[in-house]
Amino acid sequence: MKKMRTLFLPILVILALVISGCAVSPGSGSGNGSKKQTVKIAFIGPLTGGNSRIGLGGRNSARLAVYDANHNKNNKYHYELVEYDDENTTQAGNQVALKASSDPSVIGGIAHYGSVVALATVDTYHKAGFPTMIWGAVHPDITLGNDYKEIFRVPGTQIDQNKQAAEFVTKLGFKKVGVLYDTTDYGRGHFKYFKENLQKLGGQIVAEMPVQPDQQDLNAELTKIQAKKPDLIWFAGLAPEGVRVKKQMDAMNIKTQFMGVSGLVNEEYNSALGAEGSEGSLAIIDGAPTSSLPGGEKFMKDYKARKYSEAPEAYGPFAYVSTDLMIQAIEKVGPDRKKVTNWLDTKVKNIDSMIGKVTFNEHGQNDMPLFTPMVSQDGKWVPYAESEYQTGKRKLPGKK
Amino acid sequence: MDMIGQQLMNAVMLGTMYSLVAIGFSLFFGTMNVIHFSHGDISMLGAFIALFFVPIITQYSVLGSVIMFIGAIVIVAVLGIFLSGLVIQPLQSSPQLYTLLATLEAGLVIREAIRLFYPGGKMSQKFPIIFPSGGFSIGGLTIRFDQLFILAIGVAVFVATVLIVNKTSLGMAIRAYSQDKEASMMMGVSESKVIAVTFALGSALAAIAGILHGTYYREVIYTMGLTSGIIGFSAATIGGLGSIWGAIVGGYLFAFIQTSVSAFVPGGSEYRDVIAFGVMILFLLFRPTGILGERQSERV
Amino acid sequence: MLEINGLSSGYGKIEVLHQINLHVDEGEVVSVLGANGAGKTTLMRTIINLIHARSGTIKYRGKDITHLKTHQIHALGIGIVPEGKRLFEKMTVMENLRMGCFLEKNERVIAERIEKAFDMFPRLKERKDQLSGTMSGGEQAMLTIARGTMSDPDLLIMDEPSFGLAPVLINEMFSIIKRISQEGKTVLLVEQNAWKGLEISDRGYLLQKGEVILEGKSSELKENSLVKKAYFSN
Repeated sequence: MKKMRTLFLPILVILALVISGCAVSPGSGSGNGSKKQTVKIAFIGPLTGGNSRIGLGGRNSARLAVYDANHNKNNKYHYELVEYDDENTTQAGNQVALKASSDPSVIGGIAHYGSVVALATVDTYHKAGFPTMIWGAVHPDITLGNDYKEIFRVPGTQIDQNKQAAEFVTKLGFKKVGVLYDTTDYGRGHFKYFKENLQKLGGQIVAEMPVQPDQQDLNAELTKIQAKKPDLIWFAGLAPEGVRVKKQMDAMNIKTQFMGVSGLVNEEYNSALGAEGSEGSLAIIDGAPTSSLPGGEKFMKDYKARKYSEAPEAYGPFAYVSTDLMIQAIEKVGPDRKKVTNWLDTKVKNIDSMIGKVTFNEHGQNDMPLFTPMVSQDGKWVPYAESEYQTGKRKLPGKK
Repeated sequence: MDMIGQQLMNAVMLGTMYSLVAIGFSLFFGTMNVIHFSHGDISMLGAFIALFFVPIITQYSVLGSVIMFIGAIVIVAVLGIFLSGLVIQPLQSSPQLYTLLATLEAGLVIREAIRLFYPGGKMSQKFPIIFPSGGFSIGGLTIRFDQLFILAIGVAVFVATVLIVNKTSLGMAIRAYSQDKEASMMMGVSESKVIAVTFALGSALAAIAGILHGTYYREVIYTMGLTSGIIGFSAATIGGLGSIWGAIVGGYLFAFIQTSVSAFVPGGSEYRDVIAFGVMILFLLFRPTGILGERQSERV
Repeated sequence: MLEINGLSSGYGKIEVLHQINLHVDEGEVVSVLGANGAGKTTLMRTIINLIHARSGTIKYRGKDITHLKTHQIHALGIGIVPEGKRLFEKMTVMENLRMGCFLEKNERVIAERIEKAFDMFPRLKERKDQLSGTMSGGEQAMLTIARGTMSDPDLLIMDEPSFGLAPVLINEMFSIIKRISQEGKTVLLVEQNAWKGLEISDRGYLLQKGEVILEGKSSELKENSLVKKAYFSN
C-alpha cells in the first residue's frame, strides 16, 4: 500500500507530461510548421507578508492574461510569466527588480503594489531599458516624477484618487477630519493631495499625525486626535497598518468613522479585524467596481474558471489589463524591449480594455477618471453605491 | 487637563510593558555580566506560545486566560533556561563580543522560526482579548478595564520580583552571586542554579510583557521583539544595568518621553523614537552608570 | 581529615603547583607559608575547585572531592575565609552573616550562630545594618572571619586573614583564630606572616615555586634556616 502511494505521484507526473505533450504538439505543428517562440514576462508583487493577498490576486490576474494570450490562436508568441516576490519591501523589491530586468530573456515587467517599492525600483527599470507596467502602486511620482520612457501605469494616481475621496467625504457630510498617515512617500503623498482637495471643499483637518509604518503604539496619537472631536478619522497607509489603527481605535472605544485610502482595500483588512471590527470602514479604489467594468463579468467568469485559490482583490483587473497591454505590444513589434517601450509609449491611445479605454499620456500614465468609494460590509469590501449604507438600510458607525 | 491624564495613562501602559522586558536585561547583566540581545524575541515568543492556548480561552474564558498566562510563562521560563545553557553559559569565559553575537543570532533564529513555521507567520496574528472590555470615566479621564488589569499585573509583578530578589534566600543567592561570584559559591551557592533561576525569572517577565502587549494591541507579529528588545535594553541602561528599580524607572521614562513627544510636539510622532533614543545617548554620555546604577568602578 | 596527594594545577599554559602532598588532621591548625607567588593562594583555590586540578587527588574525610563543585565542597562542612575579604559589599553585615550559613534553613540555628558571631566580634553587632562595603578594613576582616564560621564548619580554610591589617589588629586576629581552634575546629591557614602563623599552628608547610620544600612541626620550622631564608630573601 505504501509502495503504491510512493509510485503514484511520479506516474501521475509522467502521465500529465505525456498528455500535455500530446495536446500541445498538434497545435505547435500547425501554422508555419515551427513551434511558437516563448516570450517571458515578469510579474513582481508582494507574494508573501501582510499585503500578499493583493499580490497573489494580481499575480493570478496576470496569469489569466497570459493564459488567455496563449489560447489565442492568432498570437505569434507563446508567453510565460516569471513571478517574483517583492515582499512589499524596498530591499526585496530592488533585488527582484534587478534580477528580472537583467535577464535578457524577460521582455517586460508587470510590477509592484507598494508605492515605496516602485519609487525605489523605477531607476533600475529605466537603466535596463525594461518596459514596466505598474499594476498597483499609486504614488504620482512613479510615472509623473520622472521622464523614464519605460514606466507605464494603468491605475490612477493619488492625485486623482484623493480628489474624489475628498468629494466623497464632503458629500457624506464629514467636515472635521483627524488624520494619521504613515511617513513613507506613500502615506505622505496621499495626505498631501487629500488635504489640498478637502480644504478646497471647505473641510478641515483638525489633527495630523505622521506615524512610522512599524509603530506599534498609536494610543498617544489617537488620544490626541480624539481630543479634537473629529467626525472622521482618515488614515493613509496600507492594510496591515490600517488594521493596527482600527484595532486600537476599537480598544479605546473610539466610535468615530474610519476611512482609509486605496491601500486599505485588501480583504486582509476584513479578515484580520473580523466582520465586527471592519464593518462600516470606508476607503476608495481606482476604477469602477469589477462587476460594472466593460469586461468585468467576463473577467470574473474566466477568473473563477481557472480556480485560483485567491480572489483577484482590488487591483486584479489592473494587473490583467497591464499584462494584456504588454502582450499586445509584443505581438505588434516582437520581443524587443526597446520596440515594446516605443509602442507602449506612442500607440496606447484609447485602447479598449476590460476596464474601459486606456490612454497613456507623455509620462506613461493612464488617465483614470473613475474611482469607486468602498465600504466594508459583512466582512467584505463592496462599492459604497451598491451597499446597504447607500440605501439607508445601515448607518455608518460614525454618523449621528 | 484630562488630555494630560489620558496621555499619562497611555505612557504608563507602554512603560509597564517596557519595564517588564528591561528588568530581564538588568538581571542578566547584574548576575552574569551579559547583554542578552535575544531577550526581546523571548518576549515575542511568550506571546506566540500564549496563542497556542487560544482554543482553551474560547471555552473557559477566565480560567482559560489564567491557564494561558501561566502555561506560556512556564514554557518560556524553561526555554529561557535552555537558551542560557545553549548560547550564554558555554561562552562565559570567552570575550563578551561572542556572547553578544550568539544572543543576537539566537534572536534571529527565534524570529525566523516563527516567521517560517508559525502558520501565516509573516503577518500579524490576531491576539485574544483576555481582559474585560469597556471602562469608566472620572472627570473626563477615561480608564479602560484592560489598562487597569495591565497596570495591576505589572505592578504586582514588579513587587513580586523585588520581593523575590530582596527577601527570599534564592534572591539573596542571586544578589550574592552578582556581587561576588566566587565568594557566593564558597558559601554554598550553586552557580548553575543561580543562572537557571535568573534566566527563568527574566524570561518569565518577558513572556508576561509579550502577552500584555498582545492583548493590549490585539495583535502580535514576529518582529515585535526587535523593538521591545532595543527599548528594554535602553531602558535598563538608562536606569542603570543591574538595578531592578532602575530598569523599571528606565522603562517608564522611555515611555514618557515617547508619549510626550507624540502627544505634545506637533508632528512629533515621526521623531518620538529619535528623541527617545537621543535622550538615551545623552544619558550614556553624562551618566554612564544610569539613574540608579552602581559606580563603574564597582563593576569590572 | 584533608588529604592532598600529588596535586598539580595552574592557569592557562602555566603550571603553578607541582605535585603537592599535604594533609590536615582533625583538630589541627596547619599553616601554609611561603613568599609572594609561591602558590599558596593557588593551592587554596584548587582545594575548593575554583581552579581545576590537573592531576592528583584531594580527599576530605576519605571522600574524593577533587572534582566536586565549590558549593558542594562547602556543603561537606568546609568553611572558607577567602583572600582579600571578598565580602558582599552591597549587603549589610547581617546579610553577609546570613550568606555565611546560606545552606542552613533553620531560623533558630541561624539566630544562635549570629548571636555567637556577635559575641566573638561585638563591633559587628553595632554595625549590623551597615553595608559591609562601607566599613573599615579591620571591621571587614572581622566580618570575613565571622562569615566563614557561620556555617559551623568542621574545617576552616583561611587565606591570609591578617593581610593589610594594622599590627594591633593582627594580634587580635590571631587570638581569634586560636579561639576558633580551641572550639574544636580544624584550621588550614595560609599566612604570609610566618612567625605569627607558626605561633598558633601545630604544623606547617613551606611552599616555594609551587612545591612543598619543607614540612614539620611549627616549633621546628620556626628555627629552620630555610624558612628564614624564604621570608627574608624578598
